[in-house]
Amino acid sequence: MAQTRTIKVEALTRVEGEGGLHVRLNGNAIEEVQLSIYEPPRFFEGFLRGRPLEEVPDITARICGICPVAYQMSAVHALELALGVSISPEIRRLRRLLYCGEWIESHGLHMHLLQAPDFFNVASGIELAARFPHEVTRGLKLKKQGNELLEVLGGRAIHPINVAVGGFYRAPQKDEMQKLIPAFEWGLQAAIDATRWVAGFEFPDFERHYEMISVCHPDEYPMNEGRIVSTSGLSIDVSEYEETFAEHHVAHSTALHSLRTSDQSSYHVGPLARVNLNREKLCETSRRVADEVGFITPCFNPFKAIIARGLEVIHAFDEALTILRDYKPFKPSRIPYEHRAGEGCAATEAPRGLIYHRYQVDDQGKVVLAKIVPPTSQNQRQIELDLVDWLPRVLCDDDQRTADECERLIRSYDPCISCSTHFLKLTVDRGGSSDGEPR
Amino acid sequence: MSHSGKVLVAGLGSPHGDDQAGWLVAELLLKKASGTLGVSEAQDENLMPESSRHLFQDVVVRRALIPLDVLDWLEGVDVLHICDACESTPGYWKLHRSTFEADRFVNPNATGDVALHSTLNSLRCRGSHNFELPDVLRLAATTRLLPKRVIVWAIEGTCFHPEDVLSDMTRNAALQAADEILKELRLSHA
Repeated sequence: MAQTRTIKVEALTRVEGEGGLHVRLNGNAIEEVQLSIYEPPRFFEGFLRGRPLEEVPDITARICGICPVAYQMSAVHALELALGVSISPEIRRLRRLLYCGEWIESHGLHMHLLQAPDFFNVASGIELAARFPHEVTRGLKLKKQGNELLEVLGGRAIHPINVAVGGFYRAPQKDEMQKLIPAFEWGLQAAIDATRWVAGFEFPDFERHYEMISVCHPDEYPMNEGRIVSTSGLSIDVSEYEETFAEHHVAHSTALHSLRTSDQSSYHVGPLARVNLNREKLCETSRRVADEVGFITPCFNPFKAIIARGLEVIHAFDEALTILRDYKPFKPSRIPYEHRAGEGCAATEAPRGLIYHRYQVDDQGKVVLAKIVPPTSQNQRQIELDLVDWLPRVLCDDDQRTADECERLIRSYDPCISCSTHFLKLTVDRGGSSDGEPR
Repeated sequence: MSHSGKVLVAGLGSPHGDDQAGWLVAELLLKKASGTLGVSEAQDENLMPESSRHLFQDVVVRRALIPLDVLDWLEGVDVLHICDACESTPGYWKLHRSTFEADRFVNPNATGDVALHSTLNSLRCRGSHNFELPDVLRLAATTRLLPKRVIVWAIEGTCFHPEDVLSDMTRNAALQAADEILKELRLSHA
């Protein structure tokens, strides 16, 4: 008689936000895997309607304390398209610098305190710190450098307040930027060492064959602009995003699932997708370290995203140093514009993957429509399908161990549940069906 | 009075009702200190008149949104004051001061440190990614970033929801906290 077994993780851990996992098995056959995001809907798209467009960067920054810059950058680029604003090269460079700060702090946190503990069978970054004090301290310092850059450029580390439609409210002084250089020189070397450290972890042999998607720019590693490309040959303009991807409601999650419109297939966004699709645009140091540690692309092992994050941290320090060293204060820090009715969209690269925004504005400068697709809703279905493949490898009589292994895979995506993340707690419901049929 | 080294006063909070208490202490402290106690740095746009800087080089006052913020500010700090709102308890005293040595944070579960647990668990400031204030302090202690002395100022409050306003009781307790911290800083740094 087949036995139905349910494994539940009530609350995922070491992710931002509130989510859980429900797995139903019939014998050893997997019948259902649901990554449930039960955090209440936050209605940001609704809040934005009717608001002055100038408020959008500050309101959308509140979606996430870890990746506010991603929301701000996507918003200002989309709104500038709607308004017909062209920013200056100086503003563009400062925006890349701001994004470097966010990648450094977000990746630094995830690599050292969230994902690395999974490779040493410890429950937290604190336990890992007792075992690897030097490495964890280094990771904390890397994160700190990212935050300090955000403070200088954004006015504060969390929810920066200096980003405006058209540019920045204030361009930093030269000495403010130069003060950061020695710490960033240290950071570049520390990022190299950290990447070497994580590349030496023991990774599960788990290659998947899915479509990876990221922004791709002809000349630079993708952050703020470019076409949307995939490992399956997709190459579209950002304006074609909603024809190519569509969000769907699912009963078990308050987050929408984003799928390809052509065949309802899932896809993967994030640092692994970016490195796979843009490796040649990483800075020379990142490419050298990738070669040195034997990081072969394309890589379809989600656990190895931690190496991709390391390579991106190196890149971010390298690019930030170039911008900091060349920086000269400039005017205007914000390009003036007139209100007009229009529509614009943008795709940028948040630390955890591609993020898409579209806005319609009226001739009074009010938001008529806002659409925001965060990375985690794009990865959600892919995580479930990964778990379908992962579970047979990790399934054992000990439900807690099974759940721990599932969480480990989920965390490799660095999901943001508040944009969409936290830890998984497990409850197990075992029971046999009387008729031998699946329940 | 002997000099006690570099001091960080971190006010933790949010804009919601009595949860503003930690931020208010930071703000009050800086306003009260202006002209009498030097504050070397003020990193929040709503805080600190320029004139209050540099009179004293080793007292830093900052506002934190989440506990992980504090981790970034600990380098070189000898004494850490944490100011945060806590749940209301019966009784007259609405401000509580507790001092802990850094070693007590390394593994409070193993040592059964009831006083430490009780104090930290009463605080309101919530973190992300499973990093609440006790986790942050423990991580700082494990990595030897935590100052040797940690003083926790817990200010009682009753309303912590969005759109709640700061209650008079909590405002008064925050004022008292700012006064007492300032008194301590004057004694150690004057």
